[in-house]
Amino acid sequence: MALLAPAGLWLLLLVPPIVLLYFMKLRRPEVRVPASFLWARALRQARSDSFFERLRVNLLLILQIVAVALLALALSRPFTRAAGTVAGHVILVVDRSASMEAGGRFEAARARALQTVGEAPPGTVFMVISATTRARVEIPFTDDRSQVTRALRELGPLDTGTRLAPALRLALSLSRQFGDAEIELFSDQAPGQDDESDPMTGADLAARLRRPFIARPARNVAVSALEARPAGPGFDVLASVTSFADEPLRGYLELHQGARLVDARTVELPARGRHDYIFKIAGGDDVLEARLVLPDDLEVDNHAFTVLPREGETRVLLVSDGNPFLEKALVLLPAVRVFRVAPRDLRTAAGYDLTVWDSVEPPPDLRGSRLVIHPPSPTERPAAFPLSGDPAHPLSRFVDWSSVHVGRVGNTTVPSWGKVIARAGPLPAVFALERGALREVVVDFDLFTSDAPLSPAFPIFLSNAVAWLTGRPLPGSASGTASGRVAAETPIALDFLRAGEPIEVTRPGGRVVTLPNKSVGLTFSDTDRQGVYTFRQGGRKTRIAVDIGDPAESDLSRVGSPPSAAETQASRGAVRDRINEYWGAAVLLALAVLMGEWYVFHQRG
Amino acid sequence: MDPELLRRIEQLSLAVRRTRGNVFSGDHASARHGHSIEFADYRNYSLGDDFRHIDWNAYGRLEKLFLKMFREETELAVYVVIDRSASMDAVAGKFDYARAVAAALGYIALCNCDRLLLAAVDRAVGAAVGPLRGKMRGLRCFEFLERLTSAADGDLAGALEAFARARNRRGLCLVISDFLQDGQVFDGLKALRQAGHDVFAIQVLGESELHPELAGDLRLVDSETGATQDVTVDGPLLEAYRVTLKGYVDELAAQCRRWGMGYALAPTSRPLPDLLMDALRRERLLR
Repeated sequence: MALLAPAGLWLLLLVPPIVLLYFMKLRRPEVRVPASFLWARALRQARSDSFFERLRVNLLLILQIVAVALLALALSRPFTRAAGTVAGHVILVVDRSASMEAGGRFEAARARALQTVGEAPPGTVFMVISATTRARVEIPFTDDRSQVTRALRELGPLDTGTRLAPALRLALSLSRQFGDAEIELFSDQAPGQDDESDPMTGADLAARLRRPFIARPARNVAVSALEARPAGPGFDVLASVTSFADEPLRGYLELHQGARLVDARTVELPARGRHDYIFKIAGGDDVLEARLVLPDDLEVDNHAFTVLPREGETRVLLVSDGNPFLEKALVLLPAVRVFRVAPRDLRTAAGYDLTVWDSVEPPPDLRGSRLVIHPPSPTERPAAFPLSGDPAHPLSRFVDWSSVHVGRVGNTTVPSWGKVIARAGPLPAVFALERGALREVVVDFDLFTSDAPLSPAFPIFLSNAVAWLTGRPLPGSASGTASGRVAAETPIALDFLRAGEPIEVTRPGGRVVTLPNKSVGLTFSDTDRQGVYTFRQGGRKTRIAVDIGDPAESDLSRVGSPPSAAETQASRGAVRDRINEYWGAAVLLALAVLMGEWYVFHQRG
Repeated sequence: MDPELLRRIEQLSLAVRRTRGNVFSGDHASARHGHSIEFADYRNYSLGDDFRHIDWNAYGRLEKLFLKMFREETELAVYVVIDRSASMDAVAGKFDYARAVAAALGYIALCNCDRLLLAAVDRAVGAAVGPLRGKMRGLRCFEFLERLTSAADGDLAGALEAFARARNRRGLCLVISDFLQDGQVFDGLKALRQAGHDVFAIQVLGESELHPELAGDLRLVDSETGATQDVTVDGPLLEAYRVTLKGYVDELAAQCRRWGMGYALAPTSRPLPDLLMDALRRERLLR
């Protein structure tokens, strides 16, 4: 045994003062007795009764010296060297993707992780990172095993795809802070399998990464696609079923509209085959679910959800003497029907979802949202180019304003409640006004003196403007979703809803979350469960379906390569020289001795 | 003294273990044969004997001269010696108890027409009163004891030896003390005995001496010598003290018996009537 801090032995200098104090003794109270010789005889007799009684006289002194010696020993940090497992830093990366639900994979992964925690040497510091399509730190570095164990027990698989790269990248960057840190991966995938282009197969990761082999082949059939398109008075629904099994399978495919079963088909699939089914349904409840009734190892992908596109179109009235750029861009927007009228022929703007005023001042008593292009201005000022935009505003989403050049901008004053979207130098070129339910977007420059109509930003901006002004996310727009579905963990932009008014989100399963919605550009990213999410704001309701979004997740036979022997070793800890310190035991012993001294002292008192 | 107790103890009398002759007639039988109405024995006539005591009837029958001997009624000298050393006042109530015992025994002696001498001893023989005779002298006896105070120190053995030397007349010597003196305390009693006194030791001990309630680290100061003893009083030491005290008391009692003395332990917790009516009668001091 050696000492890491021999200076701690200086504490032994306390022993002489203790002995001195003991012999100086405390002041004793005097008691007058008739004859002290009887006590002297009794004392002699008591001392001669037992050797231990004599020892007892000095027991307090001995205990005090022993306590000080133990404390000195603790301060000097005694240690021994031994070959064995090393207490260090271990980052546990747990795959929570949907494929881990199959065949008890997640339970096996969790059991192995708990085993790692249980078998690790004392003092090991753990971190838990969960991996889905993104990385989450579930537990930061801690040596509290109960906390780590509890976190692992509370984890469960999610209905998401797999991307190990973000989690491993995070783990690798954290592990570099500690030389001895190791990464242990609990997944049915091998690193790099999900994203071959990711540079996570480097030597540094290979040196630190260990992974037990928990994947096991399983049989699975999935609803791989569900699409609904308007067709006449109703909708055509396309559902694809893909088998990842190595044998033919037979089952049923049910189509539910809301809570109602509207159709069912027999499914007969060859080994690793695929079949498409087309259903014809009428309008009604806008939530569709394709449900596969077939025994396999993964239940979550036997369901697929979609929200029917809104029936009807967005009616846009373009008040213009003729602007082919604008008219063309509007017409190209999906689910938008454009009506053009010359300003002098305008009778009423009522009955339209949106009015677009091109080089015309809208009437002051006009109700409803409007897009004003190049409002008449007595003076115009030359503008600097290119434009600079506010990327946080939903109107600027995916719009590259820097590609737009403007010759002159109007001289319109932006009201105090307005928000400038794009500027030409200091001059506002595009701004938005919002007061209550009324929204207005003003493009304060002439399209004919700008290259904006020729820029890719223009149709995107128009799409954003129509969605923001009408409060309806357009199919395929940046704010909306293709065919009413998004992949799990995809953030949903809520800019089609008004800012400042709380949004109530009902998750699959019925849990309701209220978002304060205090700023523009709000997104909802808690979409890790498959199903339909309902967003309510005031009387307005929007539904968006979420599914796994990764067909590869259903292929349970894709389990990656088994880990090498070196990769499997981590759960048992690295074998190196280790240092066993004993200062803790010395402190505990000193504490026990002091408690004993206290007990003896009070027994004698 | 409680009048009721006085009335009760008037019925008692002091008993001597060995009768002895005295100058004055009294209530106690003497070993000295003399002239009274109670026949004791015969002895051969020798020259010089009083002819009046020859039993002529015996001479008529046996033709030998025998002298007729009668038991003489003698007066008993009672010495009540009370220890007033510092140790007697070191425990609350002990000296008072000793004075009460002395008063009771003195009163009993006076009631029986004995010749009473009360003496207080410390380092030497101190104040004394007597000889007193007759019940009417009881008040003086009580006044003496009431005025008696404890001394600063004490040497019981030396004082008793001095007392033995000073008193030629043999009698019943009642010594009331705690007898707590290291080593030589019995020498004093022995001196009294060797002087021909009938000795009875009454050892008065306080409750706090018999069952001390001390604990912890203490410095014990001897009330007479001023000597100190540092002790850490705990259960085992208290037990050792009780054993030591019992051994000391038992040794004193055994010595007394060995030398033909009477002994009685008088704890202050014991009511005085109990001591007089029960313990001292059982020890044949009173009857």
